[in-house]
Amino acid sequence: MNILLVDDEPLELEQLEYLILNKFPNWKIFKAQDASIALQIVKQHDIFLAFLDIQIPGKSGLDLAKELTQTYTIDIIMVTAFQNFEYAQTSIRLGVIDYITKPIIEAELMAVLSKYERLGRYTEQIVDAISIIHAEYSEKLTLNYLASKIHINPAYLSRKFHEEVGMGFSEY
Amino acid sequence: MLTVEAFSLNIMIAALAPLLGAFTLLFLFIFEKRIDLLEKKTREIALERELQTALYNQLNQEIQPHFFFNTLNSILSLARLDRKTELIRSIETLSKLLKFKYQTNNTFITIDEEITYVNYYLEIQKIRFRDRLHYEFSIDPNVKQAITIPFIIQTFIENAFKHSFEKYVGEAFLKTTIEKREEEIHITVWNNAVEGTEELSLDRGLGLENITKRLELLFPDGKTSVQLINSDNGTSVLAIFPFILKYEI
Repeated sequence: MNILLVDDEPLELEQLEYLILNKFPNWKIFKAQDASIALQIVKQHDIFLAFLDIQIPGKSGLDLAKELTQTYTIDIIMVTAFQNFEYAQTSIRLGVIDYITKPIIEAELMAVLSKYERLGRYTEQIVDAISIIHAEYSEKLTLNYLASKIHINPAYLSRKFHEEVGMGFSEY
Repeated sequence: MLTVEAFSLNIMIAALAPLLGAFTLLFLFIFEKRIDLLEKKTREIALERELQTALYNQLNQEIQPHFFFNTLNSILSLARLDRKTELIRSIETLSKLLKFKYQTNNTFITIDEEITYVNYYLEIQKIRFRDRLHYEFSIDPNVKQAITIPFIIQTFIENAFKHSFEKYVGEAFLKTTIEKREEEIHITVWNNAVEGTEELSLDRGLGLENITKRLELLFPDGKTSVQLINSDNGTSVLAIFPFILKYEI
Protein backbone atom coordinates (compact mmCIF):
# COMPACT_ATOMS: atom_id res chain seq x y z
CA MET A 1 0.00 0.00 0.00
CA ASN A 2 1.44 3.37 -1.02
CA ILE A 3 1.28 6.24 1.45
CA LEU A 4 2.15 9.85 0.72
CA LEU A 5 3.38 12.23 3.44
CA VAL A 6 3.46 15.96 2.70
CA ASP A 7 5.11 18.35 5.15
CA ASP A 8 7.80 21.02 4.76
CA GLU A 9 9.55 19.86 7.94
CA PRO A 10 11.95 16.95 7.33
CA LEU A 11 11.71 15.95 10.98
CA GLU A 12 7.95 15.62 10.82
CA LEU A 13 8.19 13.43 7.71
CA GLU A 14 10.63 11.18 9.52
CA GLN A 15 8.42 11.02 12.58
CA LEU A 16 5.29 10.05 10.63
CA GLU A 17 7.22 7.49 8.60
CA TYR A 18 8.61 6.01 11.78
CA LEU A 19 5.22 5.79 13.49
CA ILE A 20 3.44 4.33 10.45
CA LEU A 21 6.10 1.77 9.59
CA ASN A 22 6.19 0.71 13.20
CA LYS A 23 2.61 -0.44 12.85
CA PHE A 24 2.50 -1.28 9.15
CA PRO A 25 5.96 -2.40 8.07
CA ASN A 26 4.74 -3.40 4.59
CA TRP A 27 3.46 0.00 3.60
CA LYS A 28 5.48 1.97 1.16
CA ILE A 29 6.07 5.59 2.17
CA PHE A 30 6.59 8.49 -0.23
CA LYS A 31 7.61 11.89 1.15
CA ALA A 32 7.18 15.37 -0.29
CA GLN A 33 8.12 18.77 1.12
CA ASP A 34 5.76 20.80 -1.03
CA ALA A 35 2.67 20.49 -3.19
CA SER A 36 4.46 20.33 -6.55
CA ILE A 37 6.60 17.37 -5.48
CA ALA A 38 3.49 15.75 -4.02
CA LEU A 39 1.63 16.09 -7.32
CA GLN A 40 4.51 14.51 -9.20
CA ILE A 41 4.51 11.53 -6.84
CA VAL A 42 0.76 11.11 -7.15
CA LYS A 43 1.08 11.12 -10.94
CA GLN A 44 3.70 8.39 -10.94
CA HIS A 45 2.50 6.14 -8.15
CA ASP A 46 -0.77 4.68 -7.09
CA ILE A 47 -1.25 6.45 -3.76
CA PHE A 48 -3.88 5.03 -1.44
CA LEU A 49 -3.63 7.36 1.55
CA ALA A 50 -2.11 10.83 1.95
CA PHE A 51 -1.22 12.90 5.03
CA LEU A 52 -1.21 16.59 4.12
CA ASP A 53 0.10 19.33 6.38
CA ILE A 54 -1.98 22.48 5.94
CA GLN A 55 0.87 24.98 6.45
CA ILE A 56 3.26 24.19 3.66
CA PRO A 57 4.95 26.96 1.70
CA GLY A 58 3.54 27.63 -1.76
CA LYS A 59 0.25 25.92 -2.45
CA SER A 60 -1.35 25.15 0.93
CA GLY A 61 -2.31 21.67 2.09
CA LEU A 62 -5.99 22.52 1.71
CA ASP A 63 -5.53 23.59 -1.92
CA LEU A 64 -3.56 20.43 -2.55
CA ALA A 65 -6.33 18.34 -0.98
CA LYS A 66 -8.87 20.02 -3.23
CA GLU A 67 -6.81 19.25 -6.30
CA LEU A 68 -6.25 15.64 -5.27
CA THR A 69 -9.90 14.95 -4.51
CA GLN A 70 -10.91 16.32 -7.91
CA THR A 71 -8.65 14.05 -9.94
CA TYR A 72 -7.83 11.03 -7.81
CA THR A 73 -9.45 8.71 -5.34
CA ILE A 74 -7.06 9.06 -2.45
CA ASP A 75 -7.98 8.94 1.20
CA ILE A 76 -6.77 12.21 2.69
CA ILE A 77 -5.88 13.04 6.27
CA MET A 78 -5.15 16.68 7.10
CA VAL A 79 -2.45 17.54 9.65
CA THR A 80 -1.92 20.96 11.25
CA ALA A 81 -0.40 22.75 14.23
CA PHE A 82 -3.27 25.27 14.19
CA GLN A 83 -6.15 24.48 16.51
CA ASN A 84 -8.40 26.44 14.24
CA PHE A 85 -12.05 25.76 13.53
CA GLU A 86 -12.10 27.13 9.96
CA TYR A 87 -9.39 24.74 8.83
CA ALA A 88 -11.30 21.80 10.23
CA GLN A 89 -14.49 22.97 8.57
CA THR A 90 -12.85 23.50 5.18
CA SER A 91 -11.28 20.05 5.45
CA ILE A 92 -14.62 18.43 6.17
CA ARG A 93 -16.17 20.19 3.21
CA LEU A 94 -13.41 18.87 0.99
CA GLY A 95 -14.36 15.40 2.11
CA VAL A 96 -11.16 14.39 3.83
CA ILE A 97 -11.16 11.17 5.86
CA ASP A 98 -9.74 12.63 9.04
CA TYR A 99 -8.04 15.63 10.65
CA ILE A 100 -5.27 15.50 13.23
CA THR A 101 -3.40 18.27 15.03
CA LYS A 102 0.26 18.57 15.96
CA PRO A 103 1.93 17.56 18.19
CA ILE A 104 1.22 14.07 16.89
CA ILE A 105 -0.16 11.84 19.63
CA GLU A 106 0.59 8.23 18.77
CA ALA A 107 -2.75 6.88 19.99
CA GLU A 108 -4.64 9.45 17.92
CA LEU A 109 -2.69 8.58 14.80
CA MET A 110 -3.25 4.88 15.38
CA ALA A 111 -6.98 5.44 15.85
CA VAL A 112 -7.07 7.15 12.46
CA LEU A 113 -5.09 4.33 10.90
CA SER A 114 -7.09 1.54 12.52
CA LYS A 115 -9.59 1.47 9.67
CA TYR A 116 -6.72 0.54 7.37
CA GLU A 117 -5.52 -2.19 9.65
CA ARG A 118 -7.11 -5.03 7.70
CA LEU A 119 -5.94 -3.53 4.47
CA GLY A 120 -2.43 -3.40 5.89
CA ARG A 121 -2.34 -7.19 6.10
CA TYR A 122 -3.43 -7.83 2.52
CA THR A 123 -1.05 -8.41 -0.32
CA GLU A 124 -0.56 -5.71 -2.89
CA GLN A 125 -2.81 -7.34 -5.50
CA ILE A 126 -5.76 -7.50 -3.16
CA VAL A 127 -5.19 -3.91 -2.00
CA ASP A 128 -5.21 -2.88 -5.67
CA ALA A 129 -8.40 -4.81 -6.25
CA ILE A 130 -10.10 -3.22 -3.25
CA SER A 131 -9.05 0.27 -4.20
CA ILE A 132 -10.50 -0.27 -7.69
CA ILE A 133 -13.71 -1.57 -6.15
CA HIS A 134 -13.90 1.51 -3.92
CA ALA A 135 -13.20 3.88 -6.77
CA GLU A 136 -15.68 2.35 -9.21
CA TYR A 137 -18.23 0.76 -6.94
CA SER A 138 -21.07 2.70 -8.55
CA GLU A 139 -20.53 0.83 -11.80
CA LYS A 140 -21.09 -2.85 -12.36
CA LEU A 141 -17.82 -4.58 -11.63
CA THR A 142 -17.00 -8.05 -12.83
CA LEU A 143 -14.27 -10.34 -11.61
CA ASN A 144 -12.85 -10.55 -15.12
CA TYR A 145 -12.66 -6.78 -15.46
CA LEU A 146 -10.97 -6.44 -12.10
CA ALA A 147 -8.49 -9.23 -12.82
CA SER A 148 -7.56 -7.73 -16.17
CA LYS A 149 -7.04 -4.35 -14.50
CA ILE A 150 -4.46 -5.74 -12.11
CA HIS A 151 -3.08 -8.19 -14.66
CA ILE A 152 -3.77 -11.50 -12.93
CA ASN A 153 -5.80 -14.59 -13.58
CA PRO A 154 -9.50 -14.21 -12.52
CA ALA A 155 -9.61 -17.61 -10.80
CA TYR A 156 -6.46 -16.82 -8.86
CA LEU A 157 -7.85 -13.42 -7.84
CA SER A 158 -11.08 -14.99 -6.67
CA ARG A 159 -9.26 -17.56 -4.51
CA LYS A 160 -6.83 -15.00 -3.10
CA PHE A 161 -9.59 -12.56 -2.35
CA HIS A 162 -11.47 -15.19 -0.40
CA GLU A 163 -8.35 -16.24 1.46
CA GLU A 164 -7.33 -12.79 2.55
CA VAL A 165 -10.56 -10.89 2.94
CA GLY A 166 -12.53 -13.81 4.32
CA MET A 167 -15.48 -13.36 1.97
CA GLY A 168 -16.19 -13.81 -1.70
CA PHE A 169 -15.62 -11.07 -4.21
CA SER A 170 -19.32 -10.77 -5.11
CA GLU A 171 -20.29 -10.60 -1.45
CA TYR A 172 -17.83 -7.79 -0.90
CA MET B 1 -0.65 116.07 47.97
CA LEU B 2 -0.23 112.50 49.21
CA THR B 3 -2.37 111.37 52.08
CA VAL B 4 -0.86 109.29 54.83
CA GLU B 5 -3.02 106.32 53.84
CA ALA B 6 -2.02 106.49 50.24
CA PHE B 7 1.61 106.85 51.20
CA SER B 8 1.60 103.83 53.49
CA LEU B 9 -0.25 101.85 50.84
CA ASN B 10 2.45 102.73 48.33
CA ILE B 11 5.14 101.65 50.76
CA MET B 12 3.31 98.43 51.40
CA ILE B 13 2.99 97.63 47.70
CA ALA B 14 6.62 98.49 47.14
CA ALA B 15 7.68 96.19 49.95
CA LEU B 16 5.25 93.36 49.24
CA ALA B 17 5.50 93.20 45.46
CA PRO B 18 8.99 91.67 45.27
CA LEU B 19 8.07 89.33 48.09
CA LEU B 20 4.95 88.28 46.23
CA GLY B 21 6.97 87.82 43.06
CA ALA B 22 9.48 85.69 44.89
CA PHE B 23 6.72 83.53 46.29
CA THR B 24 5.10 83.13 42.90
CA LEU B 25 8.40 82.14 41.38
CA LEU B 26 8.99 79.65 44.14
CA PHE B 27 5.56 78.17 43.66
CA LEU B 28 6.01 77.92 39.94
CA PHE B 29 9.38 76.33 40.42
CA ILE B 30 8.04 73.64 42.73
CA PHE B 31 4.96 73.16 40.65
CA GLU B 32 6.93 72.82 37.42
CA LYS B 33 9.03 70.10 38.94
CA ARG B 34 5.90 68.27 39.94
CA ILE B 35 4.38 68.68 36.49
CA ASP B 36 7.55 67.24 35.02
CA LEU B 37 7.40 64.37 37.45
CA LEU B 38 3.78 63.79 36.59
CA GLU B 39 4.54 63.76 32.89
CA LYS B 40 7.37 61.32 33.40
CA LYS B 41 5.12 59.10 35.47
CA THR B 42 2.42 59.08 32.81
CA ARG B 43 4.98 58.18 30.19
CA GLU B 44 6.37 55.37 32.31
CA ILE B 45 2.92 54.00 32.87
CA ALA B 46 2.15 54.18 29.17
CA LEU B 47 5.42 52.42 28.35
CA GLU B 48 4.61 49.79 30.92
CA ARG B 49 1.20 49.28 29.37
CA GLU B 50 2.61 48.92 25.87
CA LEU B 51 5.13 46.41 27.15
CA GLN B 52 2.30 44.46 28.70
CA THR B 53 0.57 44.44 25.33
CA ALA B 54 3.77 43.24 23.67
CA LEU B 55 4.21 40.57 26.33
CA TYR B 56 0.63 39.54 25.90
CA ASN B 57 1.15 39.27 22.16
CA GLN B 58 4.35 37.35 22.69
CA LEU B 59 2.89 34.95 25.19
CA ASN B 60 -0.60 34.40 23.95
CA GLN B 61 -1.37 35.53 20.49
CA GLU B 62 0.35 35.99 17.19
CA ILE B 63 2.22 32.93 16.07
CA GLN B 64 2.60 31.72 19.62
CA PRO B 65 0.31 28.69 19.78
CA HIS B 66 1.38 27.22 16.49
CA PHE B 67 5.04 27.97 17.13
CA PHE B 68 4.70 26.23 20.46
CA PHE B 69 2.85 23.19 19.09
CA ASN B 70 5.27 22.86 16.20
CA THR B 71 8.20 23.02 18.59
CA LEU B 72 6.69 20.38 20.84
CA ASN B 73 6.06 18.25 17.78
CA SER B 74 9.71 18.56 16.71
CA ILE B 75 10.81 17.61 20.19
CA LEU B 76 8.52 14.57 20.12
CA SER B 77 9.95 13.60 16.75
CA LEU B 78 13.50 13.73 18.11
CA ALA B 79 12.46 11.61 21.08
CA ARG B 80 10.69 9.01 18.93
CA LEU B 81 13.56 8.84 16.50
CA ASP B 82 15.99 8.36 19.39
CA ARG B 83 18.10 11.40 18.64
CA LYS B 84 19.01 12.16 22.22
CA THR B 85 21.71 14.82 21.80
CA GLU B 86 19.50 16.94 19.58
CA LEU B 87 16.55 16.27 21.84
CA ILE B 88 18.33 17.55 24.94
CA ARG B 89 19.62 20.58 23.12
CA SER B 90 16.21 21.54 21.83
CA ILE B 91 14.52 21.18 25.22
CA GLU B 92 17.28 23.32 26.74
CA THR B 93 16.88 26.00 24.09
CA LEU B 94 13.12 26.05 24.49
CA SER B 95 13.60 26.36 28.26
CA LYS B 96 15.97 29.29 27.85
CA LEU B 97 13.52 30.97 25.50
CA LEU B 98 10.63 30.56 27.93
CA LYS B 99 12.74 31.69 30.90
CA PHE B 100 13.63 34.88 29.08
CA LYS B 101 10.01 35.50 28.16
CA TYR B 102 8.73 35.07 31.68
CA GLN B 103 11.59 37.02 33.26
CA THR B 104 11.28 40.06 31.03
CA ASN B 105 9.20 42.78 32.54
CA ASN B 106 11.56 45.71 32.18
CA THR B 107 10.49 48.39 29.78
CA PHE B 108 13.96 48.30 28.22
CA ILE B 109 16.82 45.82 27.78
CA THR B 110 20.23 45.93 26.09
CA ILE B 111 20.70 45.04 22.44
CA ASP B 112 22.90 42.18 23.61
CA GLU B 113 20.08 40.67 25.66
CA GLU B 114 17.64 40.98 22.79
CA ILE B 115 20.09 39.23 20.46
CA THR B 116 20.56 36.37 22.93
CA TYR B 117 16.82 35.85 23.00
CA VAL B 118 16.45 36.02 19.23
CA ASN B 119 19.19 33.40 18.92
CA TYR B 120 17.19 30.94 21.04
CA TYR B 121 14.22 31.46 18.80
CA LEU B 122 16.23 30.96 15.61
CA GLU B 123 17.88 27.86 16.99
CA ILE B 124 14.45 26.33 17.56
CA GLN B 125 13.29 27.32 14.09
CA LYS B 126 16.42 25.69 12.72
CA ILE B 127 15.24 22.36 14.16
CA ARG B 128 12.11 22.66 12.07
CA PHE B 129 13.41 24.34 8.92
CA ARG B 130 16.77 22.52 8.80
CA ASP B 131 18.94 23.38 5.80
CA ARG B 132 16.31 25.62 4.31
CA LEU B 133 16.97 28.33 6.89
CA HIS B 134 20.07 30.53 6.73
CA TYR B 135 20.54 33.42 9.13
CA GLU B 136 23.26 35.84 10.03
CA PHE B 137 23.89 38.85 12.24
CA SER B 138 26.05 41.86 11.65
CA ILE B 139 26.29 43.89 14.82
CA ASP B 140 28.43 46.92 15.59
CA PRO B 141 30.21 45.93 18.86
CA ASN B 142 29.69 49.46 20.23
CA VAL B 143 25.91 49.09 20.35
CA LYS B 144 25.73 45.92 22.42
CA GLN B 145 25.24 47.76 25.70
CA ALA B 146 22.85 50.31 24.24
CA ILE B 147 19.23 50.13 25.34
CA THR B 148 16.22 49.17 23.31
CA ILE B 149 12.70 47.88 23.88
CA PRO B 150 12.24 44.13 24.50
CA PHE B 151 11.07 41.92 21.59
CA ILE B 152 11.86 44.52 18.91
CA ILE B 153 14.07 42.30 16.73
CA GLN B 154 12.06 39.25 17.78
CA THR B 155 8.86 40.75 16.36
CA PHE B 156 10.58 41.59 13.05
CA ILE B 157 11.99 38.08 12.76
CA GLU B 158 8.71 36.40 13.67
CA ASN B 159 7.07 38.47 10.94
CA ALA B 160 9.64 37.22 8.44
CA PHE B 161 8.70 33.64 9.29
CA LYS B 162 5.01 34.23 9.33
CA HIS B 163 4.72 36.32 6.19
CA SER B 164 7.60 34.95 4.12
CA PHE B 165 9.25 31.67 5.05
CA GLU B 166 6.08 29.82 6.00
CA LYS B 167 4.33 31.08 2.88
CA TYR B 168 6.81 30.82 0.05
CA VAL B 169 8.77 27.83 -1.23
CA GLY B 170 12.55 27.93 -1.42
CA GLU B 171 15.59 28.84 0.62
CA ALA B 172 14.96 31.17 3.54
CA PHE B 173 17.57 33.87 4.13
CA LEU B 174 17.44 36.21 7.10
CA LYS B 175 19.89 38.97 7.91
CA THR B 176 19.88 41.26 10.92
CA THR B 177 22.09 44.35 10.85
CA ILE B 178 22.56 46.71 13.78
CA GLU B 179 24.68 49.80 13.28
CA LYS B 180 25.37 53.10 14.95
CA ARG B 181 24.94 56.11 12.72
CA GLU B 182 25.96 59.27 14.51
CA GLU B 183 23.85 59.25 17.65
CA GLU B 184 21.26 56.83 16.29
CA ILE B 185 20.85 53.08 16.17
CA HIS B 186 19.62 51.52 12.93
CA ILE B 187 18.23 47.98 13.13
CA THR B 188 17.48 46.26 9.81
CA VAL B 189 15.92 42.82 9.52
CA TRP B 190 15.96 41.61 5.92
CA ASN B 191 14.50 38.47 4.37
CA ASN B 192 14.72 37.24 0.80
CA ALA B 193 11.00 36.86 0.10
CA VAL B 194 9.54 39.46 -2.21
CA GLU B 195 6.09 40.25 -0.98
CA GLY B 196 3.28 41.86 -2.86
CA THR B 197 2.80 45.50 -1.94
CA GLU B 198 -0.90 44.96 -1.39
CA GLU B 199 -0.54 43.25 1.91
CA LEU B 200 0.32 44.85 5.14
CA SER B 201 -1.86 42.53 7.10
CA LEU B 202 -3.63 43.66 10.22
CA ASP B 203 -1.72 41.57 12.74
CA ARG B 204 1.64 42.63 11.36
CA GLY B 205 0.38 46.21 11.40
CA LEU B 206 -0.46 45.78 15.07
CA GLY B 207 2.96 44.32 15.88
CA LEU B 208 4.75 47.20 14.20
CA GLU B 209 2.40 49.74 15.73
CA ASN B 210 3.15 48.45 19.20
CA ILE B 211 6.89 48.77 18.50
CA THR B 212 6.51 52.31 17.15
CA LYS B 213 4.56 53.29 20.26
CA ARG B 214 6.99 51.73 22.69
CA LEU B 215 9.98 53.38 20.98
CA GLU B 216 8.27 56.78 21.20
CA LEU B 217 7.56 56.23 24.86
CA LEU B 218 11.06 55.03 25.73
CA PHE B 219 12.73 57.86 23.80
CA PRO B 220 10.33 60.81 24.17
CA ASP B 221 12.97 63.39 23.24
CA GLY B 222 14.65 61.53 20.38
CA LYS B 223 13.73 60.72 16.82
CA THR B 224 12.27 57.24 16.38
CA SER B 225 10.80 55.45 13.37
CA VAL B 226 9.80 52.02 12.08
CA GLN B 227 9.31 51.32 8.40
CA LEU B 228 8.66 48.37 6.12
CA ILE B 229 10.67 48.40 2.90
CA ASN B 230 9.81 46.23 -0.10
CA SER B 231 12.60 45.86 -2.62
CA ASP B 232 13.47 43.64 -5.56
CA ASN B 233 15.66 41.34 -3.56
CA GLY B 234 13.48 40.96 -0.49
CA THR B 235 11.63 42.65 2.31
CA SER B 236 13.12 44.51 5.25
CA VAL B 237 12.07 46.39 8.34
CA LEU B 238 14.11 49.34 9.53
CA ALA B 239 13.87 50.75 13.07
CA ILE B 240 15.68 53.91 14.14
CA PHE B 241 16.04 55.21 17.70
CA PRO B 242 18.56 57.22 19.77
CA PHE B 243 21.80 55.65 20.93
CA ILE B 244 21.84 55.56 24.74
CA LEU B 245 24.10 53.27 26.72
CA LYS B 246 22.66 51.37 29.66
CA TYR B 247 25.05 52.82 32.26
CA GLU B 248 24.13 56.38 31.23
CA ILE B 249 20.64 55.98 32.65
